Amino acid sequence: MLFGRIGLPRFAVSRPTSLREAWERIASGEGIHPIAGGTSVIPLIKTGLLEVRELVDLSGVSELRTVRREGDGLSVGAMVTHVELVELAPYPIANLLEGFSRSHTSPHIMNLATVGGTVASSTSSEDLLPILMALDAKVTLYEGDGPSEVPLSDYVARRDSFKVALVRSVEVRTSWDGWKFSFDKLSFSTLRLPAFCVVVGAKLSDRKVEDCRIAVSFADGLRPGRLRAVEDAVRGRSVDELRPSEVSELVRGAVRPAGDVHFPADYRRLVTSRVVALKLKEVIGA
Amino acid sequence: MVSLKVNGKPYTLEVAENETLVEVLRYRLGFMGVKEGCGEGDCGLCIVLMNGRPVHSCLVLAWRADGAEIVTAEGIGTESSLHPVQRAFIDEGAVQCGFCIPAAVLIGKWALDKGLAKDREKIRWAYRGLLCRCGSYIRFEESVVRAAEGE
Amino acid sequence: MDEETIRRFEEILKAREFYVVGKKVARVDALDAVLGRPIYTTDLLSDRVLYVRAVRSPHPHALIRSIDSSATRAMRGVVDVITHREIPGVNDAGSLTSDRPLLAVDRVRHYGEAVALVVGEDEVAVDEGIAAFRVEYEPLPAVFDPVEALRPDAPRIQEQGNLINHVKIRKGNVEEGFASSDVVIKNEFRTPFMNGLPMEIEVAYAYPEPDGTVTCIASMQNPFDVHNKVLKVLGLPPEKVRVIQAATGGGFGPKSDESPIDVAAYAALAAYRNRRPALATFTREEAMAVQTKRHSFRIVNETGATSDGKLLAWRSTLYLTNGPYYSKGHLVIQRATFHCTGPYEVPNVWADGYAVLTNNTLAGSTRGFGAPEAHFAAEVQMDILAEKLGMDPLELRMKNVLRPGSLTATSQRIDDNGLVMCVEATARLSRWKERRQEYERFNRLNGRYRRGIGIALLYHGNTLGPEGDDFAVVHLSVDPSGKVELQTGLTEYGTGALTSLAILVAEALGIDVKDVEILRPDTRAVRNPGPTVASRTTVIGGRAALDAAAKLRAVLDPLAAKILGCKQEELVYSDGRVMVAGDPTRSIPFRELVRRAIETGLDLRVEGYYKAPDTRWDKETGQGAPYNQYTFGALVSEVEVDLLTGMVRVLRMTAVYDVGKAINPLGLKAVIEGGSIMGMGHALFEEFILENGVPVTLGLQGYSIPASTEAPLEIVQQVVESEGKIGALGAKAMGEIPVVLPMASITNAVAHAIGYHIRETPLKPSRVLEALEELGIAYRP
Repeated sequence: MLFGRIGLPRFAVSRPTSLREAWERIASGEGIHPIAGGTSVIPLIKTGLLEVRELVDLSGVSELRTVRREGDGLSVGAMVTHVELVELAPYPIANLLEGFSRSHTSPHIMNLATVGGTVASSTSSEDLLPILMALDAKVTLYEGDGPSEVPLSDYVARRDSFKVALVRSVEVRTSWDGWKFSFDKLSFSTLRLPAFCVVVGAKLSDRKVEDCRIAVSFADGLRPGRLRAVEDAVRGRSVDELRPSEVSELVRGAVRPAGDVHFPADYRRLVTSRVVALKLKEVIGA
Repeated sequence: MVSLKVNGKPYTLEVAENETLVEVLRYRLGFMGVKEGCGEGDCGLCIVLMNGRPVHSCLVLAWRADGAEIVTAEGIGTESSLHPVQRAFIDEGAVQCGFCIPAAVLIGKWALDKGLAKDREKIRWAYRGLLCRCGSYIRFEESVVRAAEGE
Repeated sequence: MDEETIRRFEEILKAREFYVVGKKVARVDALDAVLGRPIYTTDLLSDRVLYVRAVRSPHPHALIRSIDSSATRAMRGVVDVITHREIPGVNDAGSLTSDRPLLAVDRVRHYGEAVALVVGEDEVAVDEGIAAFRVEYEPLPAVFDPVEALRPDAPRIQEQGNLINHVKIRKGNVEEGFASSDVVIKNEFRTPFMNGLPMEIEVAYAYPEPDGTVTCIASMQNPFDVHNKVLKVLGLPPEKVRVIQAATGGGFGPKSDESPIDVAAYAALAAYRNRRPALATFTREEAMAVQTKRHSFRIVNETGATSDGKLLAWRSTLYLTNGPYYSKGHLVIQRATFHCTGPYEVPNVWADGYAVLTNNTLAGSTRGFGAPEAHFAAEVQMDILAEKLGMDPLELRMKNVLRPGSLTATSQRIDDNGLVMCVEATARLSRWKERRQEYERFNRLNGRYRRGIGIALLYHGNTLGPEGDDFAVVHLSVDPSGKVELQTGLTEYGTGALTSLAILVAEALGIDVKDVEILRPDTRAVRNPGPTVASRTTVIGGRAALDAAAKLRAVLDPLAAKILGCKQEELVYSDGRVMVAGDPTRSIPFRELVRRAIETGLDLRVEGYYKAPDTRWDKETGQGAPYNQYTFGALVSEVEVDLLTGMVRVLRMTAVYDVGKAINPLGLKAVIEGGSIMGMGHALFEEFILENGVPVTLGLQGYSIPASTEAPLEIVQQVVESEGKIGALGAKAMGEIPVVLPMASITNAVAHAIGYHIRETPLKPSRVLEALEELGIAYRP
């Protein structure tokens, strides 16, 4: 469709009330797509990029709205909205989400967009993804034979192989004693794809980096990811001898960002690497 | 079949599966203050308050609004009794072409009610997602500040 | 009424203390907007309508081999298919020149050109109908670069060739000027295509009347341009087509060109053929692709000056990249070329401006009409010159600014001091010297951020000048209650200009602005007042409004004089009353006078008219007086550059404009702020990019404009008044003006921050970072 559609096309809507029912519909054939908040699906249909004959309405599956706190774990159902997540998240997640909210290109989208929709889209426009990845998030998927858990970064990296799995919930660790996190993002106006989005966390002991997390929105093409290779190289290093230029170099070698008219690939790579280096320097107090 | 409240008044009507909330508000219920500008959640012209929160009504399929309470610009004031934000918009010269104004007064009211008016940065944040090509953003900010001062 | 009487009337008006002019007056139509009243085109649908959309070409240049609409016609809900063969009248939809078909005949010349129309019962039917429509194209060689398009072997886009205008300036002797210069600099500047991007997408609603008339309600700037082409397309006489402008959500130029004509013609055709109401509109992506763009420019400026900063010679070569159809490109190059030196006196000027057809996107009127692009090139050039000479940028400019007695590049004598007033006020308001030093100190700290302050100056020929007949018509009538109805074919679409007309009428009749009601522009009710473009509504329309008020006075004065027992020259209209000068006890309410006038059978309907003097210049040398008066202005921008990301933030803008006479100060405030922000978007982020004629930046995710948090923290503004020769009460054109300088001003501020003048807009982060890397100052953590 050269310039998209004037109106939404006709489609059927199924309204499952259980996870199993929902998954069965989605897995039953071509052109059947789940709809969570609608913030991704509706624009894709309107511009003609997604053709659907049936939408599976997830708003009737109450399990998807469950929020559970168990020890140092927080489980957030897929249909929980962004704004609800911001409101319920405890420290230190709340701080990162405050940055997410403050720098959002269109904050009122948070009232509709869902955690599950974000995970399922697995794309660089979702600032939540590097945040969740840095917090060791796991995704609980439902695939007909029951739930299975997979680290979020693996899910995103291998997104195409999870075609008909339904996102049930996201699990995040809430205790991060001794950790410092930082979120940074740059975009322009209402552009959904930012120049960069970076989340960095570190825990020190004896002026050494005991552990760290580095997640970026443009790890590979349009996929966010954790930069494990960089984390490995930084882990165990002394704060005093870890040079930002080295970190920057490591990141530059680890990312292959997509480029566009606004932010070319080389630009994204260079700036992502420098921002990561800067943020790491900040969280390790160097 | 959906039942919803718009500006305090209840409505019940049949909606098609592919009808969006903005279409229902405009063409089925006559609330022409809600505008259409892209249908993809990029311009913000269709923003209404849904259960107290600003949402892009072009992204909400109408059947999802069952049981919802919607507020549009038509519902926050009348000619003889303007909402302070509406009054401020007129006095501050915020209206240029007028097309984004219904969404802008709603966001202004929301920001005021949320206590954001004391912080200009927060007011601007509230207006993100609404594109005004005439460039009245500073006028919006001044209007919300003025409306808050009037209280 | 004769010229003399009108002139005297206006003098009297100017001399007194104003009742409403210059006071803070709210927009007359602001109430409708804040209450969300249904005043825009799609708010007025009263029936089920037919929807109309165009089938569009995916090729920038191709022959149409065959068309197969059979699948489309067979679809449920598709009611009609219209190709060029079905056009009853003439297939002509050029906004000025008749070079553009409404629907392609055998060839398409740009991506997105309309080939056929699909009419359906609802949006789904139309969308599906378009998807099923089959066109067989044979791609043709295309050309996208203006210099290449001028080569003799370039593909011919129109029969007469690709050059549609060559504007020349030949003043003095540039070679001698350069030879006498101590310093000569030469630079190339580039600006891309840009979208005017009114927030209301083009839309037209047409319906057939029982008497065979087709009425069209639509969003547009020029109802009569639309009227002319719709009746031509339908093959109907003028009285059988009626065009009414609904409230229009933004114009910015594109709504004065082809796209509103298109939707009106689409809807009218569908309504006419199917005898049912029809609505034609675009998707956002479609609107952004097919509406006329701001032209892409390439400008080479060569400037020579003495070592103490006196400009001696200036040579400009300007290439305007047009789309494949004229639109307004042949006029835009005129304005750009005439203003190519910036607002300075240069004794020797040589300029060549070329407007060239290409297979790029349609381009035409966009706010500024060539002035922003010309000023970008001229003002950054001046800044580079200042650097070369080791002079303060402000000081260099003051040495050369147009002042009373100066001659422009066209050897037109400037008689007013507006520019000097602007520069002096801006320097003071922006604390130029102080902030310059402050930022230089800040930058020496060598942190992640650098700050800078930059200035740019403008002059802007008012109003249409060489672009057409500069006249206007305003109709007034008074109803028995004393309410004055103002109706004109000039349109409101965000400029606030019609409020200015109401203010002028209220002032002339001594009544409250609230008692002036503005009726909608309706081709059945008004005479063609010319287009609502070129920021001429207040200036020229205002004169017509005052003429109408004077004519109304001419009808009422004799009766008033009789009632009050005085001479007509003693009458004063003020505060809603008509009184005898010096004796306010002898008075009568305006309303009462009106009532009596109607009682005695007086006709209180008048038509006001004004035409600006024709402007003249020599086509071979560009010498003469192409404009009747000039608006002047100065803009200082303060920026912060992030040396890590290349992101530029505008901290503050300080704008001073010589408006001639501030008729509506509150309206001016909004226009100045808003235009500054739009110009900032042009400077920092806006570009409409095509690759081999195919747009890459489609929709609002492809092309973005400033949002609330991008607006500068502060826009300080002041207006000065140096009366114009022809404008109402001395007013000067202002609607477009604030968008002219931000590109130059911000680029100069960035240069102050980083030490280099970027010569291509937008100054997006990647471009700035590239410069920072080359300068060796990019921030490395």
